[in-house]
Amino acid sequence: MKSKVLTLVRFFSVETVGSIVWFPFWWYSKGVTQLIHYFIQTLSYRIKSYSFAIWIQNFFNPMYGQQDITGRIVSVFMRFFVILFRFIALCFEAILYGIATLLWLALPASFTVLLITNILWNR
Amino acid sequence: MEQIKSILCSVCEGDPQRSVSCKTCGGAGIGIPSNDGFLVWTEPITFFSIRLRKIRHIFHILFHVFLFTVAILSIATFFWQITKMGDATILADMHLYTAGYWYVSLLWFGLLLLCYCIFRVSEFTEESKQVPGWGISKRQLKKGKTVSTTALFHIAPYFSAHARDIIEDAYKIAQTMNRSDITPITLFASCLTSAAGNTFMTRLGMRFDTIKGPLSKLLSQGVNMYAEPQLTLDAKRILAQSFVSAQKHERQFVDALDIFTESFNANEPLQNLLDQIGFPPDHIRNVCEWLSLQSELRENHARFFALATLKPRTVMNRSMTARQTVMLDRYSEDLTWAAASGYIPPVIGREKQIEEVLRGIESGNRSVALVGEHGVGRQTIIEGIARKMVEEDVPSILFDKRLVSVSLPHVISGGDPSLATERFLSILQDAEQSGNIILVLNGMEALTQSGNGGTMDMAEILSTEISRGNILAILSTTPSAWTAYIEKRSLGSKLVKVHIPEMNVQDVKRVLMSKSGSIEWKQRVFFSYAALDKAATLADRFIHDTANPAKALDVLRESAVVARTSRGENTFVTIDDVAKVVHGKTGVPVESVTVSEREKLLKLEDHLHTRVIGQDEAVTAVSQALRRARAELSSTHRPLSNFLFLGPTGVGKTELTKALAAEYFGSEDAMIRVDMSEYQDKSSIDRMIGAPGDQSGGLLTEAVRKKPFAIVLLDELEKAHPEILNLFLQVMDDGRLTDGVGRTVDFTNTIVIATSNAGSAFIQSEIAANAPVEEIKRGLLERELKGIFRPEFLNRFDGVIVFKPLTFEDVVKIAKILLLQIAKKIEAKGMSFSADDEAISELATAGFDPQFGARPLRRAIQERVDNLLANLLLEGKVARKDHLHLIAGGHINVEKAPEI
Repeated sequence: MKSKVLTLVRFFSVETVGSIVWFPFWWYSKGVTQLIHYFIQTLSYRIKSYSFAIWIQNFFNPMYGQQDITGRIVSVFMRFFVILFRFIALCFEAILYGIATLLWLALPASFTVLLITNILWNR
Repeated sequence: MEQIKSILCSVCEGDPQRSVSCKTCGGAGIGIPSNDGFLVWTEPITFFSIRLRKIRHIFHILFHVFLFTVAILSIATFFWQITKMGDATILADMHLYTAGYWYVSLLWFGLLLLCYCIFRVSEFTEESKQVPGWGISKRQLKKGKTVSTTALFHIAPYFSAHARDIIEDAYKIAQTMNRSDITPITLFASCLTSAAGNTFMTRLGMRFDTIKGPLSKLLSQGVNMYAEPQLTLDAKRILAQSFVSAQKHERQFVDALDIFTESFNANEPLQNLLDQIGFPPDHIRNVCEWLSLQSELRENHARFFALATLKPRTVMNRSMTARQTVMLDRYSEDLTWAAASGYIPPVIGREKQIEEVLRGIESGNRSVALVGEHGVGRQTIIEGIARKMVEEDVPSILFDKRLVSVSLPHVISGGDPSLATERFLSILQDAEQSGNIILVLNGMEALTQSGNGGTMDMAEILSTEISRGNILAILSTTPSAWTAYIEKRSLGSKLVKVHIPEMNVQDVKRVLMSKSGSIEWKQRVFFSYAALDKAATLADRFIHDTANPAKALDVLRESAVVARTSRGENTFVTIDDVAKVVHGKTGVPVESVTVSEREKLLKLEDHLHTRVIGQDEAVTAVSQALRRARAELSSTHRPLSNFLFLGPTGVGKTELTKALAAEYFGSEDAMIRVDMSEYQDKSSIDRMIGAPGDQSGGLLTEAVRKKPFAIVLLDELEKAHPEILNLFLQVMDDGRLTDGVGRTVDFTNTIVIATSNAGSAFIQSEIAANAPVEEIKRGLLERELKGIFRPEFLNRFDGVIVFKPLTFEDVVKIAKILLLQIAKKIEAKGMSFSADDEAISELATAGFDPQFGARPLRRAIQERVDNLLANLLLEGKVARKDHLHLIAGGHINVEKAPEI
């Protein structure tokens, strides 16, 4: 009976009150790691879908089978700009994820500070 | 079955009392060593722990809903206050957020609470942990950190919610039955009552009521102490083994199926019980494999489509070096597009051949030819490569390429050779210029002049393009076409030949398991494992026109239609539906033996004796052969039986064969009669099995191909040429014969009966000298037949049966049978016929000749009875309802019917 009561007490203390204590630690350790992991996965998928490796490997290969000299020159320019724009898009996405990560880090701390400030400044 | 070795704790030795406080095993008492550590189940399963888990689950849901509601209400209150003020511009004033208003505090509190909600949902809703190694490739796994194998590894958190329910339900079952132990059988029973168990029983074709009683009996054996139930050491071992099984099958969590399989495999009484009620252990294991395969396919499906999104769905490749392929598109189908769009199902059991093809291509950018019989799955292998190309799990030469299947019949259609060649050249040019095309040419023999039956030959063009390295292609053909049209040409030497063998039955079953879902969906029926098993085994044994797995799949599809049309939708396909389809296709009765058929088989001798007088040994031998065949006790690689009937003419050799055909095979037409006197010279082999290359086949081989369940009667065997007799060595030994065009004809469902008059004089003289039959037989085999048949030929017969010459009593009985036949004919004309005993005896005396058997009797009856009857009928001396009575002296009395 004693052990059952102990288990119940442990359950409520750990999973309710204890979780409040655990929350900030989780947020800045496991939570942020999971978020970064998710962003990295999304970015690597994007890198694959933008086919950077394939485009760089085929940089001097003419597009659409245009083997003549004009076709080759146009193709090199085209490939250069496509790779550049895709890279910019990738960077933009990475920046967004960076901002999201910073927000993740900043939010609970900011909310707590603002809440405490407000309560202390209570009118 | 591979047994995983478990180890008892060296300190507490698994003792339940001592293990509670044992620190070495953590209370488990038993565990399994592994790379992750010592796998142990330490979590107690008690009434309290079960309740606590349920309460915890409900508490978390309610608490999360509460937290979320409070957070939203707090934020909403802030905005409501702002709206009440009527001035939204205040939101832009930064001072507002730190000015200390109560509703601003609520906003921050609400937002903070939302963050807390994210944390709680992430940490407290996932009940199970992922099994270590899940989602990691084997290569990555090798690089991973090593764990001390002696450290305890608690497996309980890796069990799915469903699996935990099963363990807890096992507790309830034990409690209901007043048991103090939760054994592997309790776990198995609990699995059966779960949703997974329901699916399992459905697939097995088992009703819970069938097993409920015997299982309860099994459960009630053992310890019964009315104490709280707890897991036995065996049960804990099963749970640890389930963890190993989940890891082996690369499952995310330990699932119900793992507990089910392991508890079944570990328990022999349970296996015996299920075997006794008609479910053998290999059926149970195969159903587990079926369910496992389905869940594996579901997981693969999701992974495949995630990868398929990266594959372009147009003619353009990812590097955009390709160009439009107008001519190719007109005569082809893009297999990579079809695969990426979900039109090509996953391939089962052909991984080795796919690897071989890819190796062939990679070995030197060479084109590959798949050579296999119709139905072995050449197209499936090509589709498997298309799926691999979508996943980009291919050698670099196939990376970012399209697999395009050219329809050769369309290319050569129209019959104009120059047009076809032009089309083909354009297609090759398209493929070459685009640079991202791998061509698929099915039925490659159509490229050759003789293969397409015309005057065009495109094989040389293709051969040149391949040797120049401009084209990479995967071609396919049959072995006979490869030998006849390709092998010796330059195209043959340019290709890497990959032989595609026919699948074995076990692999066919796996293919049927993987395809069953789509057939079930189309036909709105359900398959039981027994139906799948029957389709695979019967198709393999009785259908020889096509190869596996195509023939088994055909049987399965047709069985589904039979089940739906006969019993409606949502019905189960039974083994009888499958047997009916196979019977219809082959003519071989493969259904279960019915009561009436059983009666017929058991009384076959009596039925045969109504036509054949005497010859007990022969009648018994053929009857027993048939009974063995129907009870499925005969060898599956030989004819049902091979008999040699020896004896003088007219003693019933052919009559017994006819009687057997009529009695059991349905009609005398079920007998394939070959008069061996027509095969006296060597060249007549061609007539029997067909001339080489002659598609019409031989007389014997075609007859057996069309009617595989029949009696093959080789009449007057001694008259055939010895070379022809050699053919039958193979038939009698292996049950097959290859015809002139290379088709294998199956004789395993035939009874081969050869008759011969050889040694008749010897038989007659020995019978006259009252020699025993065994001695006569020995004399025949050792001396009389030596010069006529080779010893190895005689040795192939299951029975050499000596037909004794007929006695006078036999001839009297035969006379009665023949007169009975006349009576039947007369009855058909509306009259009746009878004969007195003296008349019968007179006929028998006239027709009795020990040298010629019953044949003179037939002549005597013809002359003395048939002729008289014919005259009476033609003269109009008899009318309907009159009675004709044969009396001694060759007279027929006409008894007129009373006038009405």
